Amino acid sequence: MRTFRQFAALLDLNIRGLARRPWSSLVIVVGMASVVGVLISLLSFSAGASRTIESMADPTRAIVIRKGRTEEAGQQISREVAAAVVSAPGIKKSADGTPIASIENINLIPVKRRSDGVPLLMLVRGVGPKAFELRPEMRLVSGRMFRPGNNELIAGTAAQTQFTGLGVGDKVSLADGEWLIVGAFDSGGSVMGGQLLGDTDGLMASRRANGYGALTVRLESPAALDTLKAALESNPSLDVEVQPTGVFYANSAGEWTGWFETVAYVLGAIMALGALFATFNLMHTAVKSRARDVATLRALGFGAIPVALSVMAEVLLLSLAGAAIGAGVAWLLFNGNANDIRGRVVFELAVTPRLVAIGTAWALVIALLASAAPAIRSARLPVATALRAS
Amino acid sequence: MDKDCRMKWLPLLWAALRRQPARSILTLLSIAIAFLLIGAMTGVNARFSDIIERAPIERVVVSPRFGGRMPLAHMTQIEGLDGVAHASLSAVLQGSYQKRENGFFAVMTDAHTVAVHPDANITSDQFRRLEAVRNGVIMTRTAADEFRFKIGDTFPLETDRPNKEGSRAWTFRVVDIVPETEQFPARLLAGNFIYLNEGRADGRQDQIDRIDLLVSDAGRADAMATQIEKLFASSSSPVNALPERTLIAQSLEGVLNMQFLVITVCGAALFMILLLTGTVLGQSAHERVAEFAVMKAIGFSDGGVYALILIEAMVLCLAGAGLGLLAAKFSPMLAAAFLPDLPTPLITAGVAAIALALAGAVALVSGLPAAWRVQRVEIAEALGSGR
Repeated sequence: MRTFRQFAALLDLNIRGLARRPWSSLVIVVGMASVVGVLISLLSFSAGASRTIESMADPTRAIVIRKGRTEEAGQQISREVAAAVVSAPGIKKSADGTPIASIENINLIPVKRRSDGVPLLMLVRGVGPKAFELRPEMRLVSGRMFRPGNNELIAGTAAQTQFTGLGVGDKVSLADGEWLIVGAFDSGGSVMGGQLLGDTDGLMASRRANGYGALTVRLESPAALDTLKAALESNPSLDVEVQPTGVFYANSAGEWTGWFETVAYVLGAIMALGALFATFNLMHTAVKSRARDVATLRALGFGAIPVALSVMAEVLLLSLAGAAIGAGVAWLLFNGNANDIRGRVVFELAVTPRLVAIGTAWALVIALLASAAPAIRSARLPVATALRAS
Repeated sequence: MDKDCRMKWLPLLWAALRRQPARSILTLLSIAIAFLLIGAMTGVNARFSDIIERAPIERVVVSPRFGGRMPLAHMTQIEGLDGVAHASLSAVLQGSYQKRENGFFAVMTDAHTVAVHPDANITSDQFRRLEAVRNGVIMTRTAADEFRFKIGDTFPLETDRPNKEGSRAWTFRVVDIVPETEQFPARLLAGNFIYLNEGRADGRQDQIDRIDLLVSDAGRADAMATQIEKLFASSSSPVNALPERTLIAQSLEGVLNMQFLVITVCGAALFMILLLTGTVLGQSAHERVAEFAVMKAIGFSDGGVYALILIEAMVLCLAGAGLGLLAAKFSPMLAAAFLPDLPTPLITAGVAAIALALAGAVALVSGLPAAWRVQRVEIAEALGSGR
């Protein structure tokens, strides 16, 4: 108890002393704010991309692709195979008795990114009539649904924000001429939001393709995945495999989110090392200049441990303030900003509570490492010597 | 100031830096780390520019506009265009050897690739040997060593394309082994288009993924690209045609806004060391008020004392920047060992000059608070204070 009272008194003293050393306190706060701000900002790329990808995960949704494929694009699945997949066991039936499945294909069209005008290729997804029933998180927010066979498309709102020329009423060029955008939909945060949707068969006809890319199906239950797998993968003539949608999309984008994370942690670690040296440097000087005060207190009966702890607590408080500023700036500048990975996946940067926690943890670790030696030095100062020293 | 006085500066500077050796070293390290970041970031930016600038301006890439493939007949039309020096077609066969992780990218192409891609370092002789073996491939030394392949060996590549043998495994024979280059990366295989085209059983005969061409007049690459797009605009298979340099620039910009990242990270690092060196020099000047008073008493001008502080700041900042740049220069070796996917910085003279100029500017600005303090030193007061 006495130790704690002494610690509190010393911490109070130290905090009052900060005003006398505004610049070195500011350096510690700004240093931590830079480390945490840069780390969180960079991590918000992968967090945002992962969140978009993870929203595709649904234990009762599965994707059927040609065996060995890692992407939906392609024309690997013939009409016969698609028909066989749709009638396989394990797929949930809709109210009208037909299976909830969407036969899909992926097309690419050139677009320009709104922010910097960089030309990219974005996805135009051909879907079946059950696409919205299959993905209830999607809803039309303006205009109307496309009518199959009429060269009509609907645009995801995220795609409209990220790329130019995708407003309702705009036309985009496909292989067989112009297609009209007749509506916009909110995807509920999923990958679809960065895409255009149209009817599969119309889009296939537009480029004279003769095969589909993939099927997405609603399962009767999560356990029905095995039923469907058994039925389809045992048939070599179908030559397809079944994957939970979560697994499939995580694999297809994992490479990029991992890359973003590596960049974030490498840059963050270098900055952290710089902040560590700076904080250690300033605390080293601060403790030295306080030697006489500390010696006086020790002579008055203050213990070594409260002295050491008060130094560390001072740095921790400054670092927490810095971390809060860094996280706040990152959140203000980046949270919710639209971004895309080469036009293929559109996502919003996300400064999540998890990232704030990671940033704060970094700041605390740096603070502890930087303050330990000065704190110990301060506590172990021989009282008599320090008092004698003028 | 006479020459004699100048001679004393070096010991004065040395004394100033050694006054608090721990502080000097830690400040130096912080500055070095800030410049490691600045060097690395501007260096990566320089690397991107270098990649873009080294991409041949006269090479144009033609690919299907809406994804998928395009007919082989496009090749005949493009070859016949005025101003096309060479054109080479390719179709890619992606697959793996033994395990899924052992992925290979087989570019099935024709003999024109030798002329179109001189940077891949494949000679006409080598390609002639390749053409002589229908299922031949040229592979890199890296891959050959990893899987213990030698010339003459055959191996199966497990793909997603059925062939006429009723399997998706395509058998290849190694006809040559070449060193790995940027244009011919480790897991690339160069094979004969004819082997894929005639062996495939997926109904996609006479379809190709890409055409690369060289224009005879480099200045006309953009115009040629536009002309080719127009040529096929109303065909059943329209194309995208872009100079390779533009394509590379787009693909680098497609991932990260590099400029923005450089400005943010470097800005944060610079601001931080500016504050740090300013504070440290200020502290140091504060502790040396009596010393400065003595210097002024024996005839140093305000300017002379400020110059001393400034030189101290310059030495710290420039030495730190130098160390940081050296670290950035050698960082690719570290990166290659642990993080092979990261782009490596290219420390050009320009990058170094910018970093050193920034270091000089930081030194100038951060010396100001200390100089202000020195100017206000009243000799009698400072000496009388007993400090």
